[in-house]
This record gives sequence, C-alpha cells and structure tokens, in this order.
Amino acid sequence: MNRFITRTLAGAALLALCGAASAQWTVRGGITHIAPHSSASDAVGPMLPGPPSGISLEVENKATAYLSLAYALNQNMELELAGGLPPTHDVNAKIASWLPPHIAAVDGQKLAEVRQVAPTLFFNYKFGDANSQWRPFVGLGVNYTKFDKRTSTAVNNALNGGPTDIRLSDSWGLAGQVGLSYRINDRWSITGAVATARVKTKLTTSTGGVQRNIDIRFHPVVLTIAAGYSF
Amino acid sequence: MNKWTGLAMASAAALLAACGGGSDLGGSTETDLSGARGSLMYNPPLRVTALSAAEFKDRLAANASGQTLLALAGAPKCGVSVHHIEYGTVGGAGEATNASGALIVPTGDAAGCSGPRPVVLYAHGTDTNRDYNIADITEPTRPGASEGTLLAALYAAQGFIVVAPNYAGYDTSKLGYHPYLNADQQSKEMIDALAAARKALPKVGGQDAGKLLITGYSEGGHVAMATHRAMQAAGMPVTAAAPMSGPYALGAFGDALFYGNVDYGATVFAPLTSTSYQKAYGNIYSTPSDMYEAAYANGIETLLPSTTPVATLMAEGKLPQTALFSSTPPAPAFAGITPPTTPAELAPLFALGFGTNNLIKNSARLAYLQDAMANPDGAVPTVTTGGQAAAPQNAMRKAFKTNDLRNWAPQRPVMLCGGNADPTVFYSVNTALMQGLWSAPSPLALPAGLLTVLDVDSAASAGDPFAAVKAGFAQAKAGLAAQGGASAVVQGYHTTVAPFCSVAARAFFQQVLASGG
Repeated sequence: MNRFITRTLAGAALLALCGAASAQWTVRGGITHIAPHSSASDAVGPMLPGPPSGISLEVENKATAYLSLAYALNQNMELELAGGLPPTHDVNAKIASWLPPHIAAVDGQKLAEVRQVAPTLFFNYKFGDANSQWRPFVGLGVNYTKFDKRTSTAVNNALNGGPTDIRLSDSWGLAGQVGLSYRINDRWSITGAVATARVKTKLTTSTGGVQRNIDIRFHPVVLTIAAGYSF
Repeated sequence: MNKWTGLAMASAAALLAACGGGSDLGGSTETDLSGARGSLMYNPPLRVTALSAAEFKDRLAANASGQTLLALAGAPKCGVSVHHIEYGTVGGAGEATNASGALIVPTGDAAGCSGPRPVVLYAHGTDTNRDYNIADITEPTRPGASEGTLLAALYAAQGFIVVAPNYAGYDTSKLGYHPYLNADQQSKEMIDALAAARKALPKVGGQDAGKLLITGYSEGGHVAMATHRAMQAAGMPVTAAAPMSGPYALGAFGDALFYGNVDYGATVFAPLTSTSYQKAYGNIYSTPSDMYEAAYANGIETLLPSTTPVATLMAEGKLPQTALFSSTPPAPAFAGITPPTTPAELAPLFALGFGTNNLIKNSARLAYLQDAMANPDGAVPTVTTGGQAAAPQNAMRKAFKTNDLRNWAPQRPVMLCGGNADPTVFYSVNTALMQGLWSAPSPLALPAGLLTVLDVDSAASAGDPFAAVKAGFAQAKAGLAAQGGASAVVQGYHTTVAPFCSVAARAFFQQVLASGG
C-alpha cells in the first residue's frame, strides 16, 4: 500500500472521532454491473509469433449482487466498504487477422473464466443534511482486486499448446464514485452510483513449463443500484 | 456489540465469499523436476505449433527458402505437431543438469501418418546462439527455426517421429557452458532426450514403432556417430545411422589444424572446444591465457554460446574473424606451415587462419606440434596406420583422442555423407578416414553392404541412386560461385552440403526400413 492510501485511511479514522450521527450504520444491497474496459498488451513469451505476437484478450462485462456496509462519521461523511458477490468474467481472445488462419479463427472465443474479489473502501461526502430527500455524494477510496479463481478453456489450452495454468497479480489502486441517494424514510433509502478504480494486473500463463505474460489495464465503469437500511 | 456485529460479519463473509478459489487447468500436466537422466520435466510437453499437411505446405510455399525445402523434401504427406520437451541430463563433468529439444509427431489420416512410426534422433550442427531452439519454428528468424523446419518437412511430414535435442548449454538449459564435441556427454544427452520423448509420446498422440534412425550434421555428425557407438555398447537397439560432415577423427583433424590446415570457422570452434574439454578434464590449461592471447583470454570460457551475434563479438574485438594462429612461426622450423602453401588450391583458405590478431598463442601451438611430432597420429601428417596416435602427452591432444571415434565398428547399416571439398570439416581426415577404418584390409572392416559412403560433390555414376542429390548440390555450388566467387563457395560450402546429405540420409533410412531393417 502506498503512503497516500495509508494517510487517507488514517484521516478517515480521525474523522470518526468527531461527532456521531444518530443512525450510524447503513447496509446497502442491490445489483451492480461491471464493465471492465480492459486494455491488454499482446502476449509475450517463448515460442510465440512476432513480436508483436498478435495474441491478446478482452475481459467481458458482468453483473452481480452488490453489498456494502457504511459507517456515518457525521451527517455528511461516511466510510463505506463496498463489495458483493465476487463476479466471474469471461475472458475472450483478441487475435490479429494476420496470424495463420487456424490461429486467427480463435478470435472472439472464450479463453478463460476469471473470478475477482474487489473490496473498495470509500470515504463519501454526502451533500444536504440528514433530512434531505435527495442527497448527491462523491466518494474517494482505495480498491484492492484479487483474481482468485481462474479456469482455462479447451480453446485456450489448444492456443497455448497444452493444459494451461493462469495467474493474475493483485491490484491496489485509487477508486472514485459519484451517486445519488433517495431517502424513503428514517431507515430506508435507494442509492444509485457510478464508480471507477485504477486496476491493473499482470496475467501469466504457464503451459508445459513455459510462461507467457499479458499486461492488462482496466478503466472499469461500475453501475450500482441498491436499497439501503440504516440502523 | 450485538446483532449488528453479526450483520457486519455476514457482510464481511459475503465480501470474502471467494475463499476456496484456485486454477482449473482444464487437463493436467505431470511434472518431474527430479533432474534424473531421461526424466521428462513437463508431460504433456508444450505444443509449439500444429499444422495440417495442407497448412504446412502453404507455409513452406510462402517464401523462397521454404519453396527450396518443399522441392527437396517433397510435399508434406502428414501434418506435423511440434513440441518443446525439457528433460534431465548430465553436463561434461557428470554434473546433473537439464536441457530442452524438439519432439515432432506426424499427424493426419494419410497412410503412414498415424499408428506406430519410426523415430529419427537428430543432432544439430554448431551454433553460437545460446537461445538456439530447434522446436521454435514459429518465425523463420528464430535461431533453430531453419533446422527445425527442415526436420519437420523432411521427416515428420513424411511419417517419421523426430527427436532433436538443443544440447546442454542452450535454450532453457541451466548449464553455463556447452560440452562441445564431448562424445560421452553428447551421446548421453541424445539417449536422455530420446527417453524423455518416449515418455511424452502417449500424451501427444505418437506411437514408437521400435525403429531408431540416428543422424546429425557437422558437430551433430560427431554426436550421431558417438550416440550410435554408445547405444550399441549398451545393447540399445539401433536400426541405422547416417552421420553427416562430422569431425569423427578428432585426433587427425586437430593435428591437421595445428599443422596449419586451419579450417573455415576455426576461431569459433576453438573456444567452444577448449572450454568443453577444460570443464570435462580440467587440464587443458591452468588459466585461459596459457592458450589464448591476452586480447581474448579474459572471459573466453563464457564467450560462446552467446545471445550476442558472433559478428558483433568479433566487431567488439572479443574474437578474431579467422586468424587462429600467429603469422610469426612458433619456431623457425615451422616457417613452412605458418601458413602452409600446399595444396595450392587450399593455400588461400589456410592463409586466412593466420594473422597478427591471432587467437591461440604460439607457445600453445608449439607444445601441441612438438607432441604431434613425438607421438604422431596414424593419418596426419602422413597416413601410416590411419588410426589414432598411440600415446599423446599434450593435454589437448589427449582430449582429442578421448573423443576420436576411430575405435569401433557399427553392427547396423551406416551411411557417411559429406562433400569432399568441405573447408569447415575436412572430408579427407574425417569421412575418408572412417571409410578406410571400416573397409578391408582394416581389422575393423565391416561386412559388405553395411557401409555406404556418399560424397555429394562428385560425379554421378551409371545407375547412381544419388544422382539427383549430386546434381542438386552441383547446381547449388554453382549458384554460390556465381553470386560471390571462390570466397562465397568457401563460406557457404559446408551449409550447402547439409540439405542434400539430409535428403540422401532419408532415402537411405527408407531403404533400410523397406528391406526389413
């Protein structure tokens, strides 16, 4: 973790000491749609065409259940730990058309399924006050993404030349969100938000002892709609 | 805290619901990293590429060298599946190490492409590129791609399984040097690569018919013959062998070199050879500067093989281009061979081997020559017995004798192929000497029909089965001369012989197999 993130969390902890609202905790549950917008390099490693190899990939969108737990520091500030049911994304091939026909034919086919666990800690500032019906908010935070379950498809094994193990490195990065809350009553609310984070990973395949790498950057757009219960 | 603790923990649990993740390979790879000789490190081995017969033909037809190969080898009958094998083996001092190579399996439904197939065990020629990988045929510019493509087109696409080591010291091998022309190590490695490849066959759709054909070019010719010798001694079945253009009679070849018959490429072969023998025997020198001039001695043990092109190494002054010996005689008596001026047609070649920027010190040359005169080889400078020197005392001469193959007789058919004017691996002190050793009235003379000798640079006789090969070589040699005259022929002769000898070797193998060999 870099020092900026450490200071953000320390600052949030200090703010927690000053003033408390009457209903402090909010649990939010709903649906989130994750568009990873991946940007992946060409695969590099031994016994590949090129360079460039012309072999790359795209991580596809996925919707999943959303869950977050927020602690109100005061009526305008809250700390929110956002997460949900870890989604499994399809990873599809992006193959250059200049490669031999039997390789180019793999373009668009599924190479892998990858599950991500991506808790994000936000510091949210909510405009208005405890009684406002509509409360826009902005949040700044830290995302940690771990790719924990990876499955290689038969197509990917054929492309790589054998049973293939896939690993992706963890990611730490800044996150941000903007949203709008609608207060139904003292307890219930509806929240909609759009969030993003800086996520990057190094994907490593291992086939018959040979390793290849693809660097992936994400500019994810995460849309969430959730119901909130405060207590 | 109260029920909210429970809720908070449930939330945390949901966020951490990922526990129990992992990687599903969609199949399994067995690993054996024990390093034991002949162990296959990854099974199934990596498949580098798989091409159908039609796809392979299209690939070859797409460029000039591929078209030449297509004309030589014939249109692919089978598809080819090329694998990268990694196996445990030993180094030149018996140290456990690993190495890699190619396993190429024929595929497809055409007759002779599936089911049990004969195995060709192939040893490649000298290469200075540490990244040499005969399995990597993905791009023609890769080191090893041209020999790998030749093997795929000539053998695998015609129904042979091919096993070809890269050699310890190359590609993924962790050995820090290459045991060059070390007959013991190189034959052990060939046997280890074959054992590892046989373990892979069931998982890559190959079946061994129990027929083994051993072949190789240049350094690989020496390796192929050493491997046949070792397997025969160990009672392992060999069907036939076809060593090509190899330095089989190392004692005679080495003496010829030091007598001033410097071959084309000597400055590259020398550090590979001295390092290999120093690692194996420990006594070639106390320090490299005993043998090499000060300008080159530092770092010469790790100079080759290298990821830096040898032309760059030469431009950086780490190795002379051609000057092996000093143009100042090591003693007045040797002025006549510094350089030798006979035979006249070879005088320009020998002159290249001498200069003021020479690689090997006169003191080392002198010590060698004195021993060569005191304990002469049976073929150099004159043919007496034709055999090895009886009792050399000089460390380098002893090393050459240890790796000299003039001490056995094959019990299965052998074809020796080369070109008689080869300026890199001299034909007369290698191929012709082996031919003499295995022909009457030599005590090691082989039974009639067991030995075939082919000089591709000779006239075809009436009904010559190799007439087409000889005509092809003659045309290729004429092409070299037309492009760049005599020097182009010197520079290109050795590599130009290779594909023609290879085609002849295949025909020889097919004939042995057809007659029930």
